[in-house]
Amino acid sequence: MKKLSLLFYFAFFSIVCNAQDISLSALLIPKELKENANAVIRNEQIVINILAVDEMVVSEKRTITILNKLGNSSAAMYQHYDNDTKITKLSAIIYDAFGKEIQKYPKGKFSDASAVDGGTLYSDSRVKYLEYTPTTYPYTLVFESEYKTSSTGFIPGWVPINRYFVAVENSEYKILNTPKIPWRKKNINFSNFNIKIEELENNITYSIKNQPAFEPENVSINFRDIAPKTIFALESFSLKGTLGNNPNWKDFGLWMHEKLLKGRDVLSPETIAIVKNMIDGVTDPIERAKLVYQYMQQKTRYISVQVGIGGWEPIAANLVDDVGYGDCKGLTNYTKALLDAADVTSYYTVVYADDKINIDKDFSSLQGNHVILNIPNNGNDIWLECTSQTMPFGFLGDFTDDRDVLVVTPEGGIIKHTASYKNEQNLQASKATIQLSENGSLTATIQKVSTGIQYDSSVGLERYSQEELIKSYKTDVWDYINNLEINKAGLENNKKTVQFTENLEVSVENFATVNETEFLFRVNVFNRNSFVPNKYKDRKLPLKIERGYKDTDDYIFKIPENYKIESLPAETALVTKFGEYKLKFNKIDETSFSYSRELFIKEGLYPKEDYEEYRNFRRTIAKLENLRIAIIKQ
Amino acid sequence: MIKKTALILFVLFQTITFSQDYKFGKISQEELEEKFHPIDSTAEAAYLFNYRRSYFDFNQTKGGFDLITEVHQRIKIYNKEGFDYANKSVYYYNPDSGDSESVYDISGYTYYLENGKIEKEKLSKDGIFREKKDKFNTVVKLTLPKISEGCIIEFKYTVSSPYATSIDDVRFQMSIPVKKMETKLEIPEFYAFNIINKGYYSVPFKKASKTFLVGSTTYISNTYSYDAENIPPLKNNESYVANIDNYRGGAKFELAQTNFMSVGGQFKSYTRTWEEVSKQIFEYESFGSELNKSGYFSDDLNKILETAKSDSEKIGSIFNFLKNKMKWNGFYSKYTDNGVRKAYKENVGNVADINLILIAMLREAGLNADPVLVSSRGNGIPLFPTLNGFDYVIGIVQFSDNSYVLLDATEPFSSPNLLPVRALNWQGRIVQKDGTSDWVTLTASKHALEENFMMVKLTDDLSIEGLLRTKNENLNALTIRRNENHLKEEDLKAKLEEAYKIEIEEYKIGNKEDVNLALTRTIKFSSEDLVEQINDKIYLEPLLFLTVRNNPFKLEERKYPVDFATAWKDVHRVTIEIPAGYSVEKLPEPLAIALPENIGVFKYQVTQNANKISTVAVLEFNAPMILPENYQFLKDFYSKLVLKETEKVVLVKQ
Repeated sequence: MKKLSLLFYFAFFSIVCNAQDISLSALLIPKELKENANAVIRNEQIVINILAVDEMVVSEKRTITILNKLGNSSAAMYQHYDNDTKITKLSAIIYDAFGKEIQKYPKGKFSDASAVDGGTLYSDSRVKYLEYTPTTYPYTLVFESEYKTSSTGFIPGWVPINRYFVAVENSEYKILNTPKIPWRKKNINFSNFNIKIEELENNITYSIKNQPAFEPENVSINFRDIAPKTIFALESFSLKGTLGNNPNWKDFGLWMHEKLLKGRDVLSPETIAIVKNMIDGVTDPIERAKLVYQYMQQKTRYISVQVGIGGWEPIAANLVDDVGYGDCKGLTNYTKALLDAADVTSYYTVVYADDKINIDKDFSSLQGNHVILNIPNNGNDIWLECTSQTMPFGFLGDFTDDRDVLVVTPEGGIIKHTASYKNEQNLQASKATIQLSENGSLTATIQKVSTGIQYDSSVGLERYSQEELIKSYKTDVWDYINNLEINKAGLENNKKTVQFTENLEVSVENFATVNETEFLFRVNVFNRNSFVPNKYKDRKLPLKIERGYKDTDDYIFKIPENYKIESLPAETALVTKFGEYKLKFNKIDETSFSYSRELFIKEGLYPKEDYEEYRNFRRTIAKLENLRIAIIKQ
Repeated sequence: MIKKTALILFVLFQTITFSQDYKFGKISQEELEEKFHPIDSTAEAAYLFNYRRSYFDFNQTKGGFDLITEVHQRIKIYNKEGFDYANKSVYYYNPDSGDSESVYDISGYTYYLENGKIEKEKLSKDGIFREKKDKFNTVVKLTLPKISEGCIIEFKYTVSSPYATSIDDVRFQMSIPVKKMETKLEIPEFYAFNIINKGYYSVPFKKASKTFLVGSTTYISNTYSYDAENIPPLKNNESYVANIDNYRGGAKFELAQTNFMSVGGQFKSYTRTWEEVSKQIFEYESFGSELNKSGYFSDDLNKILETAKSDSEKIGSIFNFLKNKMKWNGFYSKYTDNGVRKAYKENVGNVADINLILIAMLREAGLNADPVLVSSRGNGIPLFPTLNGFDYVIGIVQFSDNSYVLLDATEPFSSPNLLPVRALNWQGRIVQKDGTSDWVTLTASKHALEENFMMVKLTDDLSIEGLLRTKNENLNALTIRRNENHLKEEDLKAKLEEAYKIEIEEYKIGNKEDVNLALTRTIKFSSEDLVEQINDKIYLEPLLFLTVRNNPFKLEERKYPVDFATAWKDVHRVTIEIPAGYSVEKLPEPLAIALPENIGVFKYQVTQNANKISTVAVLEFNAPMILPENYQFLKDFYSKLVLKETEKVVLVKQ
């Protein structure tokens, strides 16, 4: 009985003293930080404590005020861990707008789940997370976590502003290197920010105060090109129990080769015999590589498996050979082993896939999220994507093109730049013959040829069944054409020339507007581009056109009987630094005329002052894309 | 003629399939040589054999039955798009504490042709992964080796479950064709299940009995067998679909009773009628007893009742009070999670937590309030009396004149008799205070309404300036408030500018929060992109940017309903003032069309009065759902509508 009342007393007492913390009140946030913000980081304290080559403690205390529903994604109450990482502290407390405590979550209240996405087969990555339903806005949360890990290959960097619409009142990052392990650091995008750095021997503190939120803008640079960031790497580190050396890319590459790749590229004598047999009589190494690549594509499929050293070690080549599947690392390493058997030199290559991000050539560390294969080919590098069963030999597409990558050779790491596909190389050329009928309908035959990145974006049509292909033309490619019927659709994928050709026969009912005297119709039937970027009163970020391309369309129109071509629009040419747009009409004879259109957009980076001009260019194009002409009844 | 071909094909297939051997490992050369599916040549893969046997196994140690399910699947992979079928995930219940299911006896092979000879590769241990997903579930992932176009994979596994009476649905129809399906469920006489078919493809079962002996006890086991061949696939790739699984053929088994009296045990009835299902849920502790608790909200209720005197005032005030106070955590359930008291204190709860508090408060205030059990749209249509048939609960207040209001306090933008889309699924079951129950229709009684009133002026330089007032009511208002209220006005404005190709000078939203009033939006805009000039003539669409230019229904046929969730109505009134010096050369003719039984109506009229052109367009659907037999009508209806609305007004300079 006595114990019970003591407990009550204690509980009561703790409620009283936890009841309110004025400093947490959302009312105290400076006005300029609330502008454009969905959340404000009130105070963030990150401490990275490197205790040994294989021991690191990372602690974080984050106080953040969520201003509205859109800010909830910044609440992020989770901590990842795996077999080498132990969470030692985890808690969250939620406060209302006045700093009054609403809810308290000790470690035991966090849910535990596998942190593997649906496409991944196996990984030891797990996460403890909290699902909180906000009952009121704004609210403030204090999240605390601490973990201890034996892997020092990845040192969490400092990214004080981690997304749009989030302001920072105070963020501090402290890194301690007590054992004085040689290390390197790099500060990125620091110049436009007021960042305080206190550097002592083996102990550095960074801080930023009162940083307003950023807002995204159309056709602009990426957030990571704006936001400040600091990264660290130890010259001696441990990764899942393996020690490594990392003074520069050369040595780091050597470590990768020795510890992650070496000995994993062995194939059975039978498989080697198959390869030897396959290349028998072929002397050109590139022709050999083509045969090997084709063999690999037919034999394997892609599956994500995140095991091995921190998700960095490939499955052994002979195992991939047995089961016929692997992840990017496994399949690339396997292809390399096959090429070795064919006496073709190739190198395992680490890259950032998808978003165009360079491997930082001046800062060696564990980087990248994908692996491809490099064939040096006497300085004319050839790159192979080994996770695709369909990609043409030597073609990368926009997944990994035009970026710095780490090539791992037995002599060490080398930074190279992958093949790029620029501007006119990304061409889509269409030709059509269009027959108009008196009742306003049309029939047409079209040929569309795509190369470069446009090859990449149209080759996907090949995956469809005939039924799905027709549906895709109706509801996706030409969703703006009503009453469209696809009578014939043939696809041709020339992997040698990397050209994708679509041959189509279509008809459209009620295409033209027909009245007593006239027959009106839109001339750009098959390739309407109505993109106009948003309008900004006060554009803040530069204009960046990420990818250039060119579309040409040449149509021949045959008009119905009893109509005549009275006049055709004059030639139009818009020439700007962003690209060009040209229209040209030509009367062929009494019953036919030609329409040729060219849209060319150039890749480039321009100051924000140019944005309005670019927008006007696209607006004029969008309008001209809807151009209709009238032919007259005789 | 078509019928005849089908018959011939059918006979042909029968002969083919009769020659098949479905024993594990008995793969034929013909199966491997097949290049495409003979009926559906576009299929990326097909189940050659989909076998399942579920039976009850007496577990001596626990003295009860386990449910054992053996699965054997043989899948032909025709092309690369079908490779995903070589990765199989089997989820099973494996809680941190309590009895677990288990998956074992896993074995699999990939078969392929090499130089015309059948080769096989075993699914090795390395290709089997187990992963704990969360507190309750584990998944076994199988990855079949050596997959190539044309190969056949075959695997089997067994699931043992201590929860013998919860039997997984039998699935007839899949996303790829099924050449042969065989499912057997062997159920001892002690258990009775309700069985019902679902979806647009059904397979009848055959029932047989055999006698079993456990120890000295004999009992009869009933076998329900489903056998079918050439089941067509049903894919999920169309618009206006609530839940594709509602339409895929299958069968559900729900426990009705257990009867162990013949062996000296007890008789227990589970579910037989909707009445009993409702009563059973009602008697469940986290449902019925939660309704009887009331002390926790007394203070708040007394305060409300100080001002709210009439029935409608009481309902309105309590409903609004709870909508403000309680935040829904996103979980559906007919049972409370943390219980009403805790939920009330923490201001957070699942559907049952919140709506049972609502009902309890309404009752305490003297109203005739009851819970209504609902099957949410994701849960399928409650065709058949089962406990799982309901997964959601709302409230109802009934009045002496037989009128009533439905209430869902989980949705802040709902109002009496206006439920969020997730709860709008056919009928709900009212459970009265004594546990008796009855059906009530959930469908919104009023059309979701959008009304546009636009006045514009066409200037000499062919730009347009004008005002647009938009009014949204009922489900439209609810959905827009839910999707947009938390967004910034600047962003909404920019989105609208892009969608309509206009520049907005003024933008005003009215009644943003007041759900009893229509949601309004008034904009002042201008545009240079709405009018076109060809050879001295001016062409414009009478509804300008409100014109429907696309027929959303492009496919030839549709096998399941078009589900709008509610009846709806769009009304547009547009007046365009033309510049001096122009005259109207042509106006579109009026049009009035309707779907069978007036489930859809479209009326359109353009008139001229001096220098003003006025257009009225009304599009109305009077049913929430259009059945597949009316799909063709609907498609034609929309096509006529698009053609009419895109007809231009022609102006000429005098």
